[in-house]
Amino acid sequence: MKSYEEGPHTKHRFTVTPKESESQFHLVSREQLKHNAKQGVNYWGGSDFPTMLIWAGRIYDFLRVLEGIVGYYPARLQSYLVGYNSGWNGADVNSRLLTDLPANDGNVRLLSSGNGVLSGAGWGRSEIEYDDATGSVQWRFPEGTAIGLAARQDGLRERPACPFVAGFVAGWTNRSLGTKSEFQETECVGKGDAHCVFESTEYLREKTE
Amino acid sequence: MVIPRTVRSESPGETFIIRPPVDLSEALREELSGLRNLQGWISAAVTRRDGLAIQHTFSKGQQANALCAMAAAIVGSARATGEELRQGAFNYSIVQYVDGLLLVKEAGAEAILACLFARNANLGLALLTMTQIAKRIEERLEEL
Repeated sequence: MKSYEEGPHTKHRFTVTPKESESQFHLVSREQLKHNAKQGVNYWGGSDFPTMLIWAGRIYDFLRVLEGIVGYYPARLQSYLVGYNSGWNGADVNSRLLTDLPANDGNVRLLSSGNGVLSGAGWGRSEIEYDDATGSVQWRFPEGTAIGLAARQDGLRERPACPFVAGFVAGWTNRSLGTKSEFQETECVGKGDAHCVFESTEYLREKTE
Repeated sequence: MVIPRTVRSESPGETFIIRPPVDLSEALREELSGLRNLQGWISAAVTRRDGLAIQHTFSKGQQANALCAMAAAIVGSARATGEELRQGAFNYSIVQYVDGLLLVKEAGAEAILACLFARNANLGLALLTMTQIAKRIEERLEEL
């Protein structure tokens, strides 16, 4: 699941194969999910955050509806913020679930667990690249994110469809590494790209066309 | 069970607010100081188009963050309205309250200038000054 490239500095690459995604699904969406029958509500990883299945297209709808009112940029930030909290909390809960020996004080290990959790939860299979010399991080979804795929069903769009996921990977990354990075969607299947790619940036300076 | 020693931080919010590069902040702080002499001026902020504060004169960051988010929403919704009604590009927005005036103007392709004034401020002069400062902010941002 994890491989490392050695060079003048360490470049970490964490992948999830389709087979591993299958086993992550059993772990994340079955074993780690507890059902409170009285409430009819699920709880993940021993946390007290109510958890539920929701169609990815409905997450996309939050962006779509909001951007129809206030425009893309403010809608993107609000969607990103929600995703950020989700990623942060997810990493926080997962830090208590990891049972293997911590590498690099546990920070990189926690980062590396993010894509397994995401694919196991049905968000999309991804690989993470982390260059510990530059601090740059990339999350790449070779088949797209679930939200991006849902957006594509709705028709191609001009701008990325997954600020929620950009926020999520930012929250997970920052919680893991103790960094303060933003992420931007550099490729999105929702706008016709072959993959979804999220790249870290120190400070996003996005300009209108 | 081995618990990895991961980084601790109080809350996600504290890590979310990304500080702009120092040169960017300083350039904008200098421009905002030009508004201080206007009669009725209360506070001002420069925000990214998405509503994340870049620089402001508020004593509390929380107030600035709220204004910046709202300013971005005002510009976004005004632009959308303009497109829907085929009225062309957005120029500026004036919101008049019982106690004050909120002026919002784009400052180039990547920023918005928002200023809060007392109700009795000279609106014409405030708009003129804001227009000049927004232009300079745009130029400063392009330089960086």
